[in-house]
Amino acid sequence: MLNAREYHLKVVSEGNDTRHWPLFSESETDIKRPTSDYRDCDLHPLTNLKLPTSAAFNLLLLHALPMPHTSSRRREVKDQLHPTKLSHEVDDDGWSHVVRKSSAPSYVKSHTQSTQSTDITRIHVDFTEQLTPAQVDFLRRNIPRHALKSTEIRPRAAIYSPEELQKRFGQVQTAWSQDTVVQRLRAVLTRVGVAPTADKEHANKEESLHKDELDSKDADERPVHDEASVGHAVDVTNQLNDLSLKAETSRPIPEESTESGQAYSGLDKAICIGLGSPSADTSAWEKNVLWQLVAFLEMAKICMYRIYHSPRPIML
Amino acid sequence: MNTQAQPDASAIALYVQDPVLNEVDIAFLSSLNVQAMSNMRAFSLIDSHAMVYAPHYQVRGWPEEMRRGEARCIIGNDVKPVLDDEWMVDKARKRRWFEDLLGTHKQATARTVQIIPDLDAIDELRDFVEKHEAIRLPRPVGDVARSAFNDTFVYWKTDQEEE
Repeated sequence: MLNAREYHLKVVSEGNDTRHWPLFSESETDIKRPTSDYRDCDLHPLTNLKLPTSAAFNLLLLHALPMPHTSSRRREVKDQLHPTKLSHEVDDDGWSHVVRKSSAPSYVKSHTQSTQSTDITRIHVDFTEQLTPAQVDFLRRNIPRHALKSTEIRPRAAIYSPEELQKRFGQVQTAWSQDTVVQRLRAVLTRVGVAPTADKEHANKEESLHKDELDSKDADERPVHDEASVGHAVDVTNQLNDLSLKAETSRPIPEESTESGQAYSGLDKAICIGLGSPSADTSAWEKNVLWQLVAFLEMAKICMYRIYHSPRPIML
Repeated sequence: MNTQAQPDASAIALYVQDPVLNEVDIAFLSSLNVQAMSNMRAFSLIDSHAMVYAPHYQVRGWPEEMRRGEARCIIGNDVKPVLDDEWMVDKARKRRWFEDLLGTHKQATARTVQIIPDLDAIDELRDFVEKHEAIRLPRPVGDVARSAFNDTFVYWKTDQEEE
């Protein structure tokens, strides 16, 4: 758990206006808050905190991070972090302290408003002790890595033993095999040229599975094709059909193509960035890290399948 | 799954990069033939021979290798909202204006992605969208994993770009 007294968040804004905010709170109980506070706030990075953290910490991050795009969500977050619930003090060393109190001087409010309109381009986070996994996860996801010294995000303490981790991994793998996302994923990757096409029967079968599943689902269960909000999102099935056609007709078959095919496919590595810690995943998305890991391995496997079994070069 | 083919994913090099990986993670990943990296070394491995899987990795923090589409395939967050964020783009423009005025502008690199991205980085992302096709990944069904692929896309270069 965060002992806020031990953590300093130094925010450096443009114009060499450097502010330091050592974070602290009166007690650990004081910084606890209902975990449901942000759970449903999908549009804000604070969504995934779901952890006891100080209002001050949130406030500082709020200064540095874009607010939610919708006004209702913005209001919601602002209400949670209203300056009247915070106090701002400056110590003898000139460090500003933001603490959570029942009332706060008015200048905190104005300060909050002014900093939200400031271009903060760099954030230096100095942590003297290890953060909770969720806090590290939050920082990792929301603060550009250049702003964090490599030593500042530290390995998480493992919560699960190797045996427990292996067991959880097995559970997720099993869940994956039962989830139709595997088939749908394969169908997607098949159509964009990664998954096998030499085995047409298999590809068609999976495509059929994909379509059947889409047809059988309620509208809200289907993959989202929100073309209004995501301009380049397209109807998966239609685009995939087009792609398949292109792949079949426009791709030359290299003379050196063989069963292994690796030489011309050119795909020699798969890189997963920002996975998280499988052994310390206590975030709101419990097991999500393992899900992502299984997905990553599955995709790599699909790529290999494509490489080994299709005479065509990978389209991607 | 096709039982005829059980390819060994380890036949291609697998890397996982994250600074929070601990010893248990590293050993576990190693048992899966995955090489763990806790520094930023994986960014330099991104090239036309790489598939990059970076779900929920903030687009504003994409390294230049990803922004410039050097990977053969990228599976990651939706890029478009960053470009549609008028507030952010406007801030980037203003910042560029000041930088040009003061003569302090330096082109963004992979290591200087900022909360308000450099205008060059935004241009690279715009270029990325133009030169790549994209498909939104399907969503898992289970409750736990339902959000696993939220706003996650497969990006690959268009035919014209590839050629």
